[in-house]
Amino acid sequence: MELRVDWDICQGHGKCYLIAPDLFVPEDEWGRPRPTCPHIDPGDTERLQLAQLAVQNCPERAITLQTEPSHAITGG
Amino acid sequence: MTTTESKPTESDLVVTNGQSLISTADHYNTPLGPDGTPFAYLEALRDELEETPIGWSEAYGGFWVVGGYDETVEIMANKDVFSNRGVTFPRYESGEFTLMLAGQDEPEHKKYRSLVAGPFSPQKTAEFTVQLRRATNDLIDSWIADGRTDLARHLADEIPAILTALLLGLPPEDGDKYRRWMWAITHWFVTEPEKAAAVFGEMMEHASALIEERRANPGTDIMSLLIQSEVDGERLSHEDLMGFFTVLLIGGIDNTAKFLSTTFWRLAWDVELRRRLIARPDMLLRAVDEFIRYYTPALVGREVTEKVTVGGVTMEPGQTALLWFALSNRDRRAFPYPDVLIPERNPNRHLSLGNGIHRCLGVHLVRVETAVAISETLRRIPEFELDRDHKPEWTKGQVCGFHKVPIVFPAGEPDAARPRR
Repeated sequence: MELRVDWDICQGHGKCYLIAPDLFVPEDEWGRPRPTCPHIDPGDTERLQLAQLAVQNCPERAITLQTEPSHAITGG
Repeated sequence: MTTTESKPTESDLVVTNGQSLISTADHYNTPLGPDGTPFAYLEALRDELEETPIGWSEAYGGFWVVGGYDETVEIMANKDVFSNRGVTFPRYESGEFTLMLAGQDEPEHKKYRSLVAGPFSPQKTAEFTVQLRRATNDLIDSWIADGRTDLARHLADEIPAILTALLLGLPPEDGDKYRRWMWAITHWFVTEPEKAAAVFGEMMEHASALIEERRANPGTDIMSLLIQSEVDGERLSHEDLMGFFTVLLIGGIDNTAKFLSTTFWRLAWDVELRRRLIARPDMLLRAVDEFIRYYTPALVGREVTEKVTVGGVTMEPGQTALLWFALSNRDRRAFPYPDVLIPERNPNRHLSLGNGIHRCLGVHLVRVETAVAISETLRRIPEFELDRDHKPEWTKGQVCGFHKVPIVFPAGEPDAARPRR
């Protein structure tokens, strides 16, 4: 699964690195984050849950968690 | 209905006999319930807005009460039609100056905001943790042996004042002076306009002196940074600097103090919540986020610049849409069980700190301040309760919350082992 932050939408609220500090770090002075672990193994349920929590709590809906093409082909 | 006097905490909830609450809604005059807060009234307002998420109040010559979550987000996103010129309503006593950032639209807003992004970045604000912890403990030491205090006056008010003073380059011990300025700008302008203008004048004199002093002897504070900054190749004008000083002062001390006081009031009687937070310190940051939703201190306005239809109503140029976050944060369409405080609420996309380009500049600072203040208080006085002899008092207005939270607790010892200032 691919974890992404759209910096055009993100306003740097910082809730993602508050909720999931293992997956995001603040990157620029506006507080916009960089995902430290952009590719998450679908079997890694703990990380996946944290990533979903970040997605669901982003006030600007700037975070997405999507199936990567290679997984889609294999039905993963 | 334009009276604005904040009354202390006698219950003044009224039976309305089916009358519309929206038509008389006035944020400077929200009826308080038996608990001393306006939330029972606000929940009734929210219920009335369930069918039509935007209503019309006759107060202050009339304004739109925006209570729906989606409609609030839509208005904040529509920057071309909804101008931040109307961010305070009725307009604060801020002289002829524009409230920088909060009162600006694009493209100016972004240019000026980028000047202060650095000092308010998450990396920079984290550096204040040690100073804040020490300041919090100094304050607690000053009353812990008494077994009673006012957590609003002697903690929640002081912490943001100390931090704001540090940021602006002002003496941290003059909190009373800053709060007097803040009251003039945010409240006395409605109740006692002449006094407000006079006190605002006093503040301008202080700010001018500070600016001249920093021009001669630059420090590491934000005013020094702004004095040396340029926008479009030009140094900031005196008016720009005054507008910055005003917005950083009220933005720094008002919201945080009210919100933190209300949170302490909750912790004083919600024993189960308090014990959970003591047992599970890892819960604190998310719990703080829920406190911010539930006890939303602020409302913000927008001035309509062209005819627009939103939430089923048509607004005309010149009108004000007041984004009443306490209502939109209790919108049932966005928050299941909105009237319950759920520390681990998920999702929790509350609007208290704004949305879009005008999100609260101090968002990272607020988290550091409140997390340190709450965790140190719970560490030093794990057991406390509301003082039955002194009632808590609520401040109504564009920024609302308790300004008096008297508590009693088993007297403790000042922390002598801790390094002193």
